[in-house]
Amino acid sequence: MAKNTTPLSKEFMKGLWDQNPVLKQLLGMCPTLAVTNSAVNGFAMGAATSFVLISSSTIVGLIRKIVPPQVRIPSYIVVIAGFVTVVDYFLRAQFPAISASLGPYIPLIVVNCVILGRQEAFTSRNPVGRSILDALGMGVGFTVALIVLGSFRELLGVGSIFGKVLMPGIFERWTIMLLPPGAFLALGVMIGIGNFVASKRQRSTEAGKGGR
Amino acid sequence: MNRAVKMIVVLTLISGIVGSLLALVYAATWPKILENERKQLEQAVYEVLPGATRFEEETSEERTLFRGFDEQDQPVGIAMKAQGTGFQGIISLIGGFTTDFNNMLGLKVLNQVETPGLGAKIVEDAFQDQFQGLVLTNRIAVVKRIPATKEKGEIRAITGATISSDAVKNILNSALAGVSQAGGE
Repeated sequence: MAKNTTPLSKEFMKGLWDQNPVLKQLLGMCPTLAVTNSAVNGFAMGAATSFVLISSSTIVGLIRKIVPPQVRIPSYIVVIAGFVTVVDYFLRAQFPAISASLGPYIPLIVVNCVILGRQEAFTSRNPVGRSILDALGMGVGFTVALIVLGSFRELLGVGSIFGKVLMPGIFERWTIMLLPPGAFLALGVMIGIGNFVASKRQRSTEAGKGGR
Repeated sequence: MNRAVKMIVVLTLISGIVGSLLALVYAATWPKILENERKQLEQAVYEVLPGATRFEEETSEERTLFRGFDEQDQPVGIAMKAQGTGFQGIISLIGGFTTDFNNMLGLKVLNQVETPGLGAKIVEDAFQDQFQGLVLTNRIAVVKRIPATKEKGEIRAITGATISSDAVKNILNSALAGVSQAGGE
């Protein structure tokens, strides 16, 4: 296999925007849609997923050469499930309130395709250092997207962000933003804005090069 | 090494290591998790039995009762845990009652998965406070008009969440029916 010559900074940065798991790859939609009814839930889910992603990428990166290709998926899943259980017990012991509000979605991180997807698409064919950078970038990109989505829904749904009231008293709460349809609406608007910005940017770089 | 043997060895090794690490994590966090649950319950008992400074747990086959006592060791009331089906899942709650079960002293919803923004309002004080001083001569009833009369055992339904309001009422009524069948206090 040809040596990967992408600059290291690019490995990290691509998760933030160009290949953002939520906005561009549309991976991990289950937690994205289900738990983002408040900013703090979005943050907690993002942080938990990032921890699992970074830890799994590290371990998978270290063991990838001794794992026979035929059992690579079960091996990765066992490692991922192990870290998810660690997060679950940690939250239940230290942050019972957050654990209660995320409910079954913490154990479900095991089947979050962002995590297995990164192991399969990246970690299994790159050195461990690069894999950790990739996981960091993807984790941060995922977390930021979830916080923005959660803030947007919380602001319109209850008039606050991170529990801080921002809307005036006369503001009529949009309860639908807290319900599943609100998740789809908010995500659709976010992806739309993301694509709009991306296409604007592409056009301006093309114009800079003297057009097509 | 034979390919099949290698597959088995590697997978067994990985599972074994992950399994042992999880056993350590479990041992380290489990006492804390149990303590959190106990604290949550304790706090709820004191919340639904205002004035209580200590309580005794009394477990029988059918139910667990928490008898609250004040500073002079006089009985304040009895708290009872109950659960039942809500709109989307199980609602578990704890109710505080006078020792004769004729009046309600308070209500606290412990766990619920009702719709956010609608049914989930059963955890808000505006709903829970209605149960303070509710008279239990008749079964608790949910009404949609204002004002609901506490003397008749009425509480006001949450707008747009009649099912969740009804669920709380039903859980309490069946728990109370269980107590009176057992001979009451």
